[in-house]
Amino acid sequence: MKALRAILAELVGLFVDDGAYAAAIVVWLLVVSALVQFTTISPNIAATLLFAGLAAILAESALRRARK
Amino acid sequence: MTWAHIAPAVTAAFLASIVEFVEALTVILAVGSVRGWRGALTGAGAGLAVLLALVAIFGPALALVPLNLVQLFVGALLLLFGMRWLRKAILRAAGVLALHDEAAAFAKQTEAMQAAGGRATGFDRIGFAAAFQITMLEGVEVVFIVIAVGAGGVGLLLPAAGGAVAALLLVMLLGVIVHKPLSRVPENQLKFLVGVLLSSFGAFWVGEGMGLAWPGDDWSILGLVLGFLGVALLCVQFCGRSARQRLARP
Repeated sequence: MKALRAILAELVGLFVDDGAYAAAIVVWLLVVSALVQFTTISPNIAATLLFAGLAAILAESALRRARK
Repeated sequence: MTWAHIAPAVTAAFLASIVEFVEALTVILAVGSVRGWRGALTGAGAGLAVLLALVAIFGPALALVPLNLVQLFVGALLLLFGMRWLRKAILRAAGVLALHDEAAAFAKQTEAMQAAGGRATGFDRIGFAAAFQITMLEGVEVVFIVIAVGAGGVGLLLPAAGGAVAALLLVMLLGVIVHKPLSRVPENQLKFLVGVLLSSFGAFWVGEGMGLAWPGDDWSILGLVLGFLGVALLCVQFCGRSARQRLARP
């Protein structure tokens, strides 16, 4: 039972370490997805936006942690 | 299926698996040296059998789901996983977080195994359970990477699994030869690289699942790799400077 709990905790921990960081990634995916679905944004620009947002989230989160 | 897909998939699975198997080897060596090799090796073998069964079940099962849905869902998970690794590797490289120390992990596990009490005369259940647990804990990450990387395109599962098996054989071989924790493996550099690769794969597949058009099609994976690598290297510089300024404050 203890081993099972440890495995389950490890499973969740695979994807979520810093909650705010993981949430920001998911929100950004939803934003880009909504842009693609509901606006006439060019698919090329949307792809660039997707990467730029993810890079910004990574940088902000790492810097925030470094300043703590 | 092009090399632009296969090469990063195999590389990511191979390097990520090396990191995980090295960590598992450390614990298995500690268990074996303290409690005996029968329980340690049987536990590790049982763990590997369960992990192989997971790949055999979930890998082909994902092929039954429409590819764009798999790319969207698995890509998002891969992105979360890869960016978590990448952030941690950046912070370790910048000196904000401590590096993982295999020798210290070995000493800690050896102490725990000694504290667990004397060995039974028959089969050592404590040694078996410890080896099984660490194989599962570290192996689940390998299984996820193999399935996720393999699910993003038709025909990628076998190359990804091949990369993981090659890593397993290499670490086992080194373990048998060296017979102590592989503390000289540059784990953080490997994690850094794997984080870059998995983040790139994740972003690419999420984009494909959303219906985005990547400039250069499959070759944009290479562009994403260079993009994430560049951002991550800059982050190491800025995070390191920030951490040093924080420490210098009175």
